[in-house]
Amino acid sequence: MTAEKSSADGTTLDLPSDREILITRTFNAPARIVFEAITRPEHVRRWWAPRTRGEMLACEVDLRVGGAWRYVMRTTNGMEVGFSGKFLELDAPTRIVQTEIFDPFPEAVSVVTVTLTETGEKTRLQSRILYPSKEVRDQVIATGMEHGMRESYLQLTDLVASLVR
Amino acid sequence: MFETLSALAEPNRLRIVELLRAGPQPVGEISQRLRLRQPQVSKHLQLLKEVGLVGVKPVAQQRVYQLRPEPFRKLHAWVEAYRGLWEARFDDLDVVIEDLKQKEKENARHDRRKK
Repeated sequence: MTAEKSSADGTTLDLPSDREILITRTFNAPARIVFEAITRPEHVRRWWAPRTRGEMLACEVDLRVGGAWRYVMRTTNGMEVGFSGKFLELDAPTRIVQTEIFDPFPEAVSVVTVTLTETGEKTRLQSRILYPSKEVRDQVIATGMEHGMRESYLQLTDLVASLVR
Repeated sequence: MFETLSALAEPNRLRIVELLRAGPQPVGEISQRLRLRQPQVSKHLQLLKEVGLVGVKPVAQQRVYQLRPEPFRKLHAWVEAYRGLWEARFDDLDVVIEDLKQKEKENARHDRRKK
């Protein structure tokens, strides 16, 4: 299942399996700059809580394998949203693997793999979130697919798009 | 939402929904086109009806099944909302990245001057 904006540098969202979300976006910069922008807390503060959606209350990053990270934002409607985790793998400037826990569900540990692929002047960022279980997946990404197959998901997007038009 | 996705996750049900995009069909026609046994198709249609993805209306002597757009709109809205959050983040990240590129350029200029 893919959803995307028509512009060339739009963000796409795929559901490659029933436990995953894949987010893809291309940036006009070399990988080392993108890596810096997504790992240094002073930079993360400026984008993780988008200006239009809220403000950053906390942003702590201990960038080493085993090190912890924590982001908290307050949304424009007053809700506090906190995520935290630990770094499992770091390979600057191309790969980050980290755990992710959403505050309300401390038992549910997701694994996020960020890959940066540099081509020419551009870098493609892919963030793959693997949810631990059906329950979490349902809560967080709101899917109840039982035996979803890749083909089904792909078709589903086209289907949804065509029906909405 | 959960129900919509669960219902569509079954490959044959998705095929039925795909087929119904072309327009309303009676159960016999669906079963023939998809080469599925009629009782099996009826069972799938029943479930699709329960979750609100299809509706049924009598036409002449037949019961004809058709898609209902509402659940698809909801599904699309959810996907768009989540994607929209990331899009907003990445639009702000673009600004950060441009600043870092600028800084790098300035530093390079500064270094050259020092040499």
